[in-house]
Amino acid sequence: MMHYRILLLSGFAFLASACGRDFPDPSDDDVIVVEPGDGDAGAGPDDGDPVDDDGGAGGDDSGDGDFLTDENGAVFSYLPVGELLPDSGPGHMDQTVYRPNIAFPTEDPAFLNSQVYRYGGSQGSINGMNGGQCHATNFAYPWQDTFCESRSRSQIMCPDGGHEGVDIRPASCIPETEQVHWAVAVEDGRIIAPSSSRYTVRLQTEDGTLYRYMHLKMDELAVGDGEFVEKGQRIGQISNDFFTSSGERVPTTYHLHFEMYQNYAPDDETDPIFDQVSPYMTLVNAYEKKLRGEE
Amino acid sequence: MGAVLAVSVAPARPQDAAEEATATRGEVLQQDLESRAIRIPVSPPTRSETTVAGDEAALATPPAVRRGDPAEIVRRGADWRAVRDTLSETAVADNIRAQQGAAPAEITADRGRFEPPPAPPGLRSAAEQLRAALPAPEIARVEAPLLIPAGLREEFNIYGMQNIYTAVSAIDQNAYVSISGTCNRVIGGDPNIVEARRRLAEGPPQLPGLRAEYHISRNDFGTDLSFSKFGCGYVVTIECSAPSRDPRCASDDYIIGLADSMVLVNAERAEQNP
Repeated sequence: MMHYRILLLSGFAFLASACGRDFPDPSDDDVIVVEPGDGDAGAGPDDGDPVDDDGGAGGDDSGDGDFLTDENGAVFSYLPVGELLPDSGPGHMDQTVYRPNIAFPTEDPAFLNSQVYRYGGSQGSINGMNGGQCHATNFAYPWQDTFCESRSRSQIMCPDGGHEGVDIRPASCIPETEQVHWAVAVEDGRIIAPSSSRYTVRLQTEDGTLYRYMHLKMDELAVGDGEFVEKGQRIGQISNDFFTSSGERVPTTYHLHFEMYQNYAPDDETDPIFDQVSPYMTLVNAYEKKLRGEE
Repeated sequence: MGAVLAVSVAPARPQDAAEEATATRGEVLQQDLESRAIRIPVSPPTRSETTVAGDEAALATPPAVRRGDPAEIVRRGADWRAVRDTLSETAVADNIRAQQGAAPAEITADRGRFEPPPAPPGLRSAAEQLRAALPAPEIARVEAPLLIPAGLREEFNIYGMQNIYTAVSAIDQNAYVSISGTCNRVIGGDPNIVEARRRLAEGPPQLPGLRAEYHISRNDFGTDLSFSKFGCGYVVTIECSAPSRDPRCASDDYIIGLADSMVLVNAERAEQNP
């Protein structure tokens, strides 16, 4: 197995910039390691990983026949909304299911968790999660919320600034498996993907919702700018496309960053604010429907 | 920050004691996450009840775990009377300015400048020349007041739908602006969010020209400005190739200037909707 190591010098985290956070500068010779194939990062059952292998995409949670499982037999589980990893931000408690009938935005099973504070992330060491992005537990349940995860950015609902969407890992770690995993339209709607946008694809729906998909393979989208699409239709391949805040192209971890904009008002009399809301519980609801075959 | 990125191929290293210690900490954390996770019964007593994984006692009597508060979409139209009143008031003010010898209220947002000149207060219809350059079928689909920033006019694409639209324009090769608007609104959901949003609505800053309250968010690739006008919600987005270095994304001035320079593309709707 090839072992890649990406070194970032001068005290700025590669993934931190890729994910938009200016972290405190730990030292001038800070070295951030992102190793898709580190020694403890295998995803298979015989990789010698001391961390358990069950619950992953191919896991076999024995005795769990009473609970919903994905197509690989792994029991789906999730942590409550707003419960982020330690030292990764205050989180955001929002139980709202904003869109109860959307499809889940990936074709295959998927794993919501942190790209920054877990294995393969620039801040994984904070939680003792040193290793590559292909670590088995990155591709296993439970899901964990990342809305309002600490970043340098500011979002209206995040008390100290933070991540304005959630991060979704595909069914397998692409650098290892070289599999293709598709992001799909969560609703009928219209694609906004002008050539001038090198970061994102948006989907707008007749009801007034905007979705934003990020880190797709932007030069091989399955949809055209302005195209009307149907719920479940393929949009693009989940990838690692990204750029630093200074504009240089740099890969991030393989994942789909997903945002949901709602024109939300606390009541019918107050002016609405059209901005990002937490999609976490909406996605839990959508995934449950997917597992039940109700999409 | 001046980060230097280097990519190299390195062999696997033997773990030393410190690394093993941190790995153990990660494992313990992962086990804790798994022990607290919520699983969904195949046949739940109700759709709002789930079970905490690992809690065997709970298997017999699943505790009620809150799993989602539904929100509601309220289908609404714009306050077209307010649109008409604003257009009229602006026209009167512009006439007075003209009688006083002031230059006509020409709104521009020069491409080469990062701070477009402040627009005279109010709202104006898009000029005929601008309308002619925009896709008429797309405009015809949109039932919301279709606002776009002035000065970026000839390159706008419009993605029109009945209850929502987005208009997009490349500012130059390093930045583009979009605006999306809808009059439908979402209400309800988590009571904590309802309360938090109420607090958020208390006293936000106001665009001086459009006289609309606004909020700004920053993300990985640019800046959003959300404002509310005529009962509808709008979000202006600027994406920059180098968000931290490009002042159009790095500071608030440019996006505030753009948001404050809105013109109305579909003024005919104001006449059609009493």
